[in-house]
Amino acid sequence: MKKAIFLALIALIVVAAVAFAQEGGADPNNPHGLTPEQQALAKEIQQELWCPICQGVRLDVCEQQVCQQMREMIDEMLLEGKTKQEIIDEFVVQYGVVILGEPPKQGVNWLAWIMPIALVLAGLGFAVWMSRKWTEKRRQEAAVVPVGAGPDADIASASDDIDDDYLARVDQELGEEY
Amino acid sequence: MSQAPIESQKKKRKGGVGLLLLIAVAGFILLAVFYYGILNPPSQRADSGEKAPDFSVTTYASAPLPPDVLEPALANLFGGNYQTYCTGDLSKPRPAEYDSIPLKLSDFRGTPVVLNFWASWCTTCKEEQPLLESAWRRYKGQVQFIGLSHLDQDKNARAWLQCYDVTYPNAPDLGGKAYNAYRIQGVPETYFIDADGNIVDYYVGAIPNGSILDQLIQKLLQQ
Repeated sequence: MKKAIFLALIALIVVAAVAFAQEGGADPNNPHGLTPEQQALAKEIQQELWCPICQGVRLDVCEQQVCQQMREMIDEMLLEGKTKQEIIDEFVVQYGVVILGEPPKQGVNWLAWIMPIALVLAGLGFAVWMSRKWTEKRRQEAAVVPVGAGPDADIASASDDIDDDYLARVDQELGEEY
Repeated sequence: MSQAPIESQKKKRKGGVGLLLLIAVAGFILLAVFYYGILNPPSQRADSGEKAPDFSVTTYASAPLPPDVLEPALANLFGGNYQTYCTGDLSKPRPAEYDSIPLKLSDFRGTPVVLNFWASWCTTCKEEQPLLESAWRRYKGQVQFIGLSHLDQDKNARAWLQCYDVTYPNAPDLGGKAYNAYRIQGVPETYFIDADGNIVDYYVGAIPNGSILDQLIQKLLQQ
């Protein structure tokens, strides 16, 4: 009888220890037991996706239940051995492009994609054009011969900063003379 | 020879005018886009009298989830006391006739349809789900019920359907295609569509009680 009670006690202690170990073993911040690399990747994916029902809330900081489900899904897919791109692609199929936080590439939304690139290119073009203009002006200024010291042609070719009307008049007078 | 400097000046002026014109055109396009946006706000949800947008989905599998998947999923959705929500036998498969089959709204032309958008993460959907299932069982044969789950996952949605013993066809609305076609702004939302495929009515939010749902179905049947 004593032996039976002793065995029952031992069994109870073992069961309690196992239960405690399981309970205590689950880290609330890592409930699926991901490796540190998987955890880092999960965080990376969470930071690239957006809450599909909120306005401008990233998945890693979203507290909605839909986001909790999404985070859990990321963990599970990482445990299945899926890559970051495979996971993101699966989310797009299931939740739509809205989770990428980008406007869908259709209709007038294309402007949101094209305009920034077009503006940057236009800005670059303008900068190149301006710098060429300035370089040319500098070169011409350097080539200007002091007034009265050179032939007329020099004055005519190096005249960027000379007033238009004045230049036209000079040309006209020279034309009349020769 | 004397005309060359004037020509170069003219060219420069033309260049300046061209640039200004370019900036003006770009500014005009931007303004036009802004005005277009202001004058065309995001469209309102599909309204009564409109043709109900068709959709093509594949229903959820009918087989019950294994207990080791089902129980944690239910605990996540409903908390530890999920048994208080669940009305069905959790080991029972759902109707085989809707087991992973392709389904379109237009398949049901000739029968009025109650189309419910829901999600397993949606709190108010929990109050509505038993009402919908109960009405489906009463009106089966007269009205077809369809459930589309929005931004959901297979495991959670199937756990939900098992928990509430939902017997009408349910499918994931992948990519929110139907949701977008109906221009819905949240879940739950329920559309009442007549036998010709026209929207008769819709209800935004959870239908609060059975009598309101009955009234909406009666109105649908009178069309």
